[in-house]
Amino acid sequence: MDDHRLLERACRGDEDAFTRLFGEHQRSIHRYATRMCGADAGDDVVQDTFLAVLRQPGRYDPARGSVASYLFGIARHVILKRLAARYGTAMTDGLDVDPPAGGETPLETMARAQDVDSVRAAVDALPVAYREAIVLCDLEEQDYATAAAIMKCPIGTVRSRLHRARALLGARLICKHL
Amino acid sequence: MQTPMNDPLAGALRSLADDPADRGASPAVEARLIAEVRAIARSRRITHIKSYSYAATLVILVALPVWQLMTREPRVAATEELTTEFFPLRYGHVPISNGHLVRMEVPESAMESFGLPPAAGGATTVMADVLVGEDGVARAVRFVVNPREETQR
Repeated sequence: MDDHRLLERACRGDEDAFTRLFGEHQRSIHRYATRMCGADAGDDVVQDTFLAVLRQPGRYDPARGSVASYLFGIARHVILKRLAARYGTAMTDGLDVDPPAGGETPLETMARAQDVDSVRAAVDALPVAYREAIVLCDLEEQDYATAAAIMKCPIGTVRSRLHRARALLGARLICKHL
Repeated sequence: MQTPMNDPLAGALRSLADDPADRGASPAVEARLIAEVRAIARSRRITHIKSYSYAATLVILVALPVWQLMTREPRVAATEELTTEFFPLRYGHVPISNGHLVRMEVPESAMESFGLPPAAGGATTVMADVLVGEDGVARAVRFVVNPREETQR
């Protein structure tokens, strides 16, 4: 049974369908939430996302993307509300940050910086919009079109944010290991 | 097509994506959501039961009168009993007080004795009302041509 059918059945109270849909997607939503808002946000975002799905049935349009992108879209809305409430952070805050120039290339630095905590800290330190591009495209492996649909922006914007995010990420890891 | 990353960065992000410490939402979240799904199912069941009840009531309200109309037995108004006039008997001239009618079955030939035609259908007996006085003496008789039936189909 495909995700669309599972979603429809779950919204009609089919527990088995919901369990399968939840099992399929909750982890990626949880990761997205924790990368964007911190470890304590994962459960809340997952719960709010799936509650919204259950309480507003019939809003998913297959023509506009996959069920996964629909769920990410809802999760993103929840995440942005949390970020705004917590920090007053706008999505585009910090986008003008330039990666510092350094003698060591990111490639060389990353070779020494394969430790998960360092990478997580570096990702967490990225501006929200860049972090989101990294999380969706590199960590959750969504394609550009899906990421653009989730982020509600053109594909070109996703590309440019991702490019700058990777550069910033590399720069931050260089600084961390100097 | 995705923009390629340099391999070390890709490896670092891959290690983060595959972080085994991230096991997803806690069981409490799933339990909370399952409870929500069950509430939806319960609500839908109640809605269905209500819908079926309304539908059943509607069907009954429509079908019952139709069924009653279709199955109602045609009723024929009870026919009036036809009788002959009273014919005086031997002591018909004797004054009477507090007389009463006694219905009895008499031979069909009794009608002929009063100049009446024989009963239809070749019956051997006919019903007759005999006027009996307080003194027990019969004064007159009349014959019932078509005895009343309670209900005819």
